[in-house]
Amino acid sequence: MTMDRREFLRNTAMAAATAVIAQRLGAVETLTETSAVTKTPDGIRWDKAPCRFCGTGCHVRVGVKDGRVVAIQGEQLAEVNKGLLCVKGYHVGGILYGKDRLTTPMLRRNGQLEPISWDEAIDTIAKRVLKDPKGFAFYGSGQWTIPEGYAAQKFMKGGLANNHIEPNARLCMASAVTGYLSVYGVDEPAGCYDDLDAADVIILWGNNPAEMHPVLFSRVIDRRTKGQTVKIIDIGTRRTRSTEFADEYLEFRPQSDMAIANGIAHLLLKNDAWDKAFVEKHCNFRGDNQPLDLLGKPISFDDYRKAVEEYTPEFVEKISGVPAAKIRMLGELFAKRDIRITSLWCMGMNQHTRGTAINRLVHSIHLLSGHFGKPGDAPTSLTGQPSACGTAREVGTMCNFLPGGRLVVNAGHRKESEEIWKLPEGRINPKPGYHTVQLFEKFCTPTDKGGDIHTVIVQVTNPGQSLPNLHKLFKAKQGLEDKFLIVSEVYPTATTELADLVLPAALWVEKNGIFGNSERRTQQWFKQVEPPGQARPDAWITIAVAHRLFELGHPGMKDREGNFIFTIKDEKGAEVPAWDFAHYEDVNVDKALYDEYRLFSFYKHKHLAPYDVLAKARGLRWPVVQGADGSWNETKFRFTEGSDPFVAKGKGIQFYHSVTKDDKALIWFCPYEPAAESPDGDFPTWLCTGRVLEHWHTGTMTMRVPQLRNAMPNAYVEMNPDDAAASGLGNGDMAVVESRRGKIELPVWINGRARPPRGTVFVPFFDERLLINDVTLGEPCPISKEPDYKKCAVKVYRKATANVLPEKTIPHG
Amino acid sequence: MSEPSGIPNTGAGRKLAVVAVLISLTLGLSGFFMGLRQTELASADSRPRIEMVQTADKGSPEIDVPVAPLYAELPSGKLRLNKDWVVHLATLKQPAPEAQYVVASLSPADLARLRATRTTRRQYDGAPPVAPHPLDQLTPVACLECHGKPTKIGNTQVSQISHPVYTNCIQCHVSSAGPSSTWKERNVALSEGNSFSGKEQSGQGTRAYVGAPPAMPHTTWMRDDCMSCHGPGGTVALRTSHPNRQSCTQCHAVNAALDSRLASGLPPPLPISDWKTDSIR
Amino acid sequence: MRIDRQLDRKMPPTEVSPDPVVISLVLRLAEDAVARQAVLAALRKHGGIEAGEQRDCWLPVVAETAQPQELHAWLESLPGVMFVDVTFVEVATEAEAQPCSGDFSQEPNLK
Repeated sequence: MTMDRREFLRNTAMAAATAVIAQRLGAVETLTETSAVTKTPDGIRWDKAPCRFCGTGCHVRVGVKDGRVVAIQGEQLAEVNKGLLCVKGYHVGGILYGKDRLTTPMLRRNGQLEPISWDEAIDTIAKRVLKDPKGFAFYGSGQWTIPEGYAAQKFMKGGLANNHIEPNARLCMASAVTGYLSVYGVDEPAGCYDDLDAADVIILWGNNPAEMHPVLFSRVIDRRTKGQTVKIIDIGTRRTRSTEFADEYLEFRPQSDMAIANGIAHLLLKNDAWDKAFVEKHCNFRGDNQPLDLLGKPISFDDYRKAVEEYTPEFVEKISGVPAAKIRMLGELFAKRDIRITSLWCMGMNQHTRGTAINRLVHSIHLLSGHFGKPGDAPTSLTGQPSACGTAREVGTMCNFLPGGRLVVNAGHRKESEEIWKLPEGRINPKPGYHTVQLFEKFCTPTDKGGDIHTVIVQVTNPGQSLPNLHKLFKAKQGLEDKFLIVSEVYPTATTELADLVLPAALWVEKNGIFGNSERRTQQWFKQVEPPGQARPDAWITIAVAHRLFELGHPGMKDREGNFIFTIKDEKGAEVPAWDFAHYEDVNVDKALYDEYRLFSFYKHKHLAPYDVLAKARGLRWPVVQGADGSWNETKFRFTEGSDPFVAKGKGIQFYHSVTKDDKALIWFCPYEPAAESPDGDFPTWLCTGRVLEHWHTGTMTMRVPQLRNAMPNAYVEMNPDDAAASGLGNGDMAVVESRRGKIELPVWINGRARPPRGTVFVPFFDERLLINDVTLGEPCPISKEPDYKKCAVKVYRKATANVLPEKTIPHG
Repeated sequence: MSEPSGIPNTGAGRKLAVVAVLISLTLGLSGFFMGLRQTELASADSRPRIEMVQTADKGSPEIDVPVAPLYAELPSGKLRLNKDWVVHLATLKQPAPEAQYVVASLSPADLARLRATRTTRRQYDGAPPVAPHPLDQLTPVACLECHGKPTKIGNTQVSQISHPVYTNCIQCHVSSAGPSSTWKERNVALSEGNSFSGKEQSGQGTRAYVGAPPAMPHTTWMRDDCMSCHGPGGTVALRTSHPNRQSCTQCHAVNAALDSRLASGLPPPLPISDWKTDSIR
Repeated sequence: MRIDRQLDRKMPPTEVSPDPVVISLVLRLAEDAVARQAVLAALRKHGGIEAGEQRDCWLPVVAETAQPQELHAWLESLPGVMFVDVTFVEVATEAEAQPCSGDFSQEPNLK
C-alpha cells in the first residue's frame, strides 16, 4: 500500500466514524433545536422563556393569546427543569397584569408624583448627571437582563468614567464571588446541576432549597422514588421544609458554620484521610492577611495543620451546639473516596459577616478530601436571582469590576476594555466606586456632611425594602432636598415612595432578554407581548439618557472616533437611532449589545455562544466552544478534562486561572470569629430573615398575583413555642420585634412552616407593610461587602394593645 | 388300523387339497367383493330414500327438520343449504349499549357550577390547582392519604392526583386562603386587583363522526392518569361511560393539533400505584 | 455459536494475512470523567490508535492493524468503554470478501 493510499484510507476511515457520531448527535440535537414557537388551534401562541424568578433558571413555555399571556407550561425540552415548575413559576404569567402597573413617567412636584413625557424624563436625568457626573450612581440588579446590565456598565464605566455602579447582587452573591475568586482565581461554580443527579450525599449549608430552589430540590428527592439512594444532610439553624426530607439534621448556632467546616478539615487531617494525591497535584494552602483581603498569603501545609488542630469535634460542639458524634460523621463522610458529595448553599453562607471565609472553607474541605471535579462531587453555591451570575457577576456591574472577570484597578484590563469599547486610552477610572452599603449611606447623608452621591438611578430592584438597616440606608433620604432618586419600576414600591422621578419599565416577556442562571447557563428569550401604556425596556432608558448627554456635549458619550458609544447598526451596516423609541425595534438591540459584550467573555474562558445560537437552545452552559464541525458545545464540568475544552490534554483537573499561576486551587484556613452582633442582655434573641416559597424577594410582583398572595398573605414572626409561651404570646398575637436600629410589629406564627430553636426567631422580608429591614444589621463581610441579614440581636415581646395588620398600600402617584 | 382323518398325506391327495383351498378362498373373496358391489348398487338405486317426516305438533308453526345426510353422500356434495335455519336474534331483547353503565345526568346549572369551581382553583387551564383548605406547612407526607386514591368525604369528591407523584407536593400546590388552620383570617383580597385572564378549560373533545370516540382536547402532560378525572376519582361531569376499559389511549387519541410529545429525557417518577410512603426517606 | 457468527458478520472474514488493514471505530465512553481519562490514556499508551475529536460521549478512532478483531476485543475490555461500533474496515481488493447476507443459515466462508 502506498503512503497516499494509506493516508486516503485513514482519512476516509476517520470521516466515516465522525459522520456516525454526528448523525447520532444530530438525532439528539434536532429535538432541542425545534422551533420554540408553536401555535395551538385555540389561538394560543407558545414560545420559550426562562422563568422570571429564582436562580434555578427553569424554562417555561409562555402561551400568548390576543396579545396577553394566558397560560404557562413547564418546558419539557429544558434540561434544568424537564417540564416541572414551582408555584411561582406556574403563576409567573400573572405578574404582568397587576392593576396598578406603572404606565407613565412621573416627576414629583410639591410632594406629588405627576405624569410627564418621556422626553422630559430623559432630559431631567441627563441634567442631573451633568450637575456633577462624579456624584451620579447607578444601582442595578441581578434581575437585569444581560444587555440591560451591559448597557449600564458601558454607560457608567466606559462613558462617564464613573465606577459608582452596583447591583443588588452585592447583597446576595458577593461573598460567593469572593469565595470563588480566592479559591479558584475565577468566579462561578465548576459543577452544574448534573451533579445533583449523580451525588450520593447532598449537604445543605444553611439553606432551604425545598422552598427557595424547589425544582432543584425535587430533582434530588424524586431520585428516591426511582429507587436511587441519596442522603441529604441539613446543616441549619432552624428546621425547615428541607429538613423534612433530610436524613440528618445538624442544628448549629448562628455563625458557627465556620467551626463545623474547620472541624471537618481537622478530622480529615487527624485521621490521615485527606486525599493526598489530589492535594499534592492540585492545591496550595492559603491564610488570611491582616487586615483581611481577597487573596491572603501562602501558608505551608504544616501551618494549615496547626491552624485546624484546635477544631476537635468537642471544640466544635462547644461553639456550634452540634454533637461531636455528628461532626465525626461528617468527617467520615468526606473521608470516603468512593462516594460523591455535593455541597449546596445560598444566603446562609453568603449574607454573613465572614461570608468570604465560610465560602472559602467549604470549597477547601471539598478540595482537601478530593471531592471535586467528578459528576456529583462539587461545592456549588446556588444563586438567588435569575441573572446574578449572567449579569451582575459576568458583566461585572460592580464598583470594582469590568466585564468578563476584569478589574478596574488592573491597567491591562482597563486597556483591553478600552480597546473593545473603542475608547480613548485612559478613559476608564482606575479607582473602584462605592459599594452598595457605602453608596446608599452617602446618598442618605447630607451633601455638606460628605454625602457626595447626589443622584441615584435604580433599575429592576427595590432597595427601599431590601437594603438592611433601612432607616440609615434609605429612609434618611427623606428631607434631603438636593438628593434625587430615579426609579425605573413596574409597580409602586417602597422605593418609589421616596422617588423623585418614576419611570415605567417593561417586564419579562414584554421585551427581549437574556439571563444567566446558577449553573453558568445563559438563556435567551424574545419579546412576546406589548408592555402596557408607555412602559419601555430598561436598556432603551440607558441608551436614551446616554444619547441626551451626547447631544448636550458630554465628551464621555463619544468613543475615540467621535461616535456615540451606543451606535447600533443593522445587518446591512446602517446605523439605527435606537435612542429614538420609535426606532428601537427596527433592529434587535439586545443582539447588538450582547454580541459586543461577548467579546469580553473570552479572557477568563467564559466563552459565550453567539446570540443566534442561544436563541435556538434552551440555554447553554459556558464556556461554549465551536467544534471542528461547526456545532457549538457547552461545558458541564469546568476544570475537568474531557468536559472543559480548555483543560490541556493529560492534565485531568486544571485550574487554569489559578491565583498562584500554577494550575492549582487554594485550600484556605480562616478562623471562626463571633458574629458582629450577638444576643446579649438587652436583646437576647437571634433574628434571621429570608424568603418563603410563594413570594419573590420584596413581593412587588408576587403579592399582586392572587394565588400567591392568598397562599401567603402577610409576613409574620416565627417563634419557638416555648419562647412564645414565656412571652405570653400565642399564635396570631401581635408581637414587637425590636433591635437597636428599629422595631416593627408582626403577628406570631408558631409550629408553622419552620421550627426555630429557642432563642431565635425568623421573619420573611416579602411584605412591604412589614419592613423587617428596619430592624436588621448592616454589617458587611469586609472582603465582599455583603451585609449580614441572617444574624442580629433583637428582643421580642407582646404588644401592649391588640392591633390589626396595617392595611397600608403604596400610593400610586 | 388308524388312518389320520382329514388331510390326505399322499402327494396327489395333497395337491388336491391345496387346490381346493385355493378355490374356496378365491370364491370367498370374490363373493365378498361381489357382495360389496351388490350393496353399493343396491343402495344407489334400489333402496328407497327416507323422505322428510312432518312432525308438526298441534299449535306450533311448521318446522322443517332437515334430514341428516348419509356418510356415503358426503363426498358427492349433495348436501342441502341451511336456508331452513331461522335466526331469531333480532327479536331477542337487547339492552342499549350505554345504558349498561349508568352515569348520572347533570343539569346545565350543575355543570356550570362545577366548571366555575374548577376555574377558580386554577389561574389557567393547566396550572396546579390551589387547595381550598389549609395545608400542613411543613411536610407533604399526608397529602396522598386523601388525594392518592378516589376519595369522597361527605358529599365532596376529593380531586385525585392526575400526574405521577413528585415528592414535594407543596412546591406547586399552595393553599387558597392563608397558610394554615391556626392562621387567623386576614384580608387576602388584592387591594388593586390583577387583570390576568387565564386560558380556559378545553370543552369536549371532537369526534370524527357520530359515535366515534372523542379525541383528547388536552395534552397528557401532568394528566397521564386518565381515571383520576374520568373515573371514580373525578367529578361526575367527566366520568367515562365505560370504566371497565382500561387502555384509554387505544381509542382516545391525543389531539393531533396539540403538541403531545413527551420530550423530557428522564422517565418520570413511579406512578401512584407503586408509591411507597417510606420512600420519602 | 450463533452469537459468534453474528460477531464474525461484522468484519469480513479475512485470511490471516500479514498486511495490516485500516479500520475505524466509534467508542461509546462511560459518563464518568475519570474513566474517560483512563481510556484516553490507554489509547495514547497503545501508540497505534489515532483518536479523533470526542463529542459528547463518543470518540472516533482509526487504527491500522493486522489483528482487527483482537483490537476490537481489547477496546471493548477497557473499563471506560461501554460499546464499540465498527464504522469502516478496509477491504483489500485481492481478498475474497464474503457478502453479509443477513441470513444466519449461511455458513460464513472461513477459508
